[in-house]
Amino acid sequence: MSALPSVPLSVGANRVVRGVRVEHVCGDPLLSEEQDAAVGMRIVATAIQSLQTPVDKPTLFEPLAADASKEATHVS
Amino acid sequence: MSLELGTFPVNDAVLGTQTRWHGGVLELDLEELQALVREDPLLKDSRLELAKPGESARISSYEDVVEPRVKVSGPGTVYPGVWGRSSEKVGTGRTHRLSGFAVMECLDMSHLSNTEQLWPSLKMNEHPAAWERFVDMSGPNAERPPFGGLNLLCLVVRAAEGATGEERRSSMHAATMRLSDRLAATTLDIDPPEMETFDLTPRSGLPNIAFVPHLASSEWTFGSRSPLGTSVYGMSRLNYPWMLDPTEVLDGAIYTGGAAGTTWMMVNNPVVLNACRMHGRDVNFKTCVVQRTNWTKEAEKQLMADRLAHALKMADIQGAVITNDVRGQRFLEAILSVQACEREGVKVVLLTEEEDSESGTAPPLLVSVPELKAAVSAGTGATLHPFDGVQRSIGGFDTTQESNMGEIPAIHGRYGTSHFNDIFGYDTQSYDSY
Repeated sequence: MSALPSVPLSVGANRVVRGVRVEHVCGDPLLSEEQDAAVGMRIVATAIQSLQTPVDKPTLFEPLAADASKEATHVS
Repeated sequence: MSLELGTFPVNDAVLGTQTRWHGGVLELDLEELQALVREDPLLKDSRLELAKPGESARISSYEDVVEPRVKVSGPGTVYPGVWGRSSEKVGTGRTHRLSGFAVMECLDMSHLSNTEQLWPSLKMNEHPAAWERFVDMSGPNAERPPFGGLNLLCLVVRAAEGATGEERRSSMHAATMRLSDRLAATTLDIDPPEMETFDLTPRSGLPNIAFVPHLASSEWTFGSRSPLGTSVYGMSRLNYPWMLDPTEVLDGAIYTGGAAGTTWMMVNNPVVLNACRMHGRDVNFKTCVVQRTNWTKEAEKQLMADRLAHALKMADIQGAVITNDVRGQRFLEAILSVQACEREGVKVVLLTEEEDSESGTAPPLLVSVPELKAAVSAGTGATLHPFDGVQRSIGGFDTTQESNMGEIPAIHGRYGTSHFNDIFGYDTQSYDSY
């Protein structure tokens, strides 16, 4: 999980999950406590899901993408 | 847009009964200068010490280095916007400078707890001096940071208890500026022995170039209104690219006491000075664009890179030199700028330090992009030789000054040392020596 996915992708990490910010990867203190917890849960759930997803190259998972179909992006 | 820069070389600095520059010698009345510092009650425990090139001395935990400069004619004040100084635009008229000399400020925090020390507060137990910034005035590594070759008036401040870290540093920086102003004033009524004129009027038929230093903002660490850390006209905030005349940089518009830089390194910046000298012959040196870094969301970093590229395009820039100041996530911002500029058709050369290669097993850059076509290395920051023990210790961050005086092992690349970050290519590892 990384706020700056281009770094782990560039060194060939298989599964990369986008977090929120460098100083708070798994949440957003600007949101309400409930929304903050929901964001964190979504990121962690995506990470666990990604472990069960077969990949054949460095792949970015976007837990907070507006369009759910874009949740996984292959990086060429 | 023309700036005359008058240089008063300081071949020697001596203690005396008056403060004056005369025939290459800077005489310092320490009593007068000390009074100037102690105007501020927070600095009542401070002291001034003189260090000379070749002396067996080590200056540790320095925060900023300032070259005394003064505006003789033209609008504004050198080092504008900080500590109550005017923010009027600088970069024209005539400026005088003392070369070969600087005021170096050191904060002695030895009696404070880690939390009181605030920033920079990182310490390594085994070899503290290898982590903190220091300068040796003699020995095999004395020339590595450019400051080892200067006569240095060191302002050593013992941090006052009960004051916040921000208050302590503000007091110290303001006093450094008072010293700089007083010393530069010694040149006011004298014709400079050396004079250089920078007339940056564009000439037709030459490519337009820009210098784009990426400079981290301390906004995240300090309050957004604080001028502590690297600032432009006193503004330390994360913001949209600043487009400056190169001569504004020479008048101190970039004030940098930040993580890696010093104010001295910006007014003596080899990229700025050399590009100014190439102006009208090889290139038109149109602008210096300060790109603030420390945006902590990737989308923000991308946005700023795109805005930089667009600004350069609007200014009809064909080529740019891009530098970075702190590694880690800030390097990503610099590399995104390279990519965005190249995609807009602006040719880029990246001047950068390299990561420690870990004996050839690690890549030289944290991250790269296919658009990166040209890069110049400023080395890894490693030293070949250990640092000899010294007879005199100035500054200090450790409880026992003696521990500052021993031999320090050779430094193994970056990450693990802040000895000297060669951002702009001053060092013997720089492009000049290859």
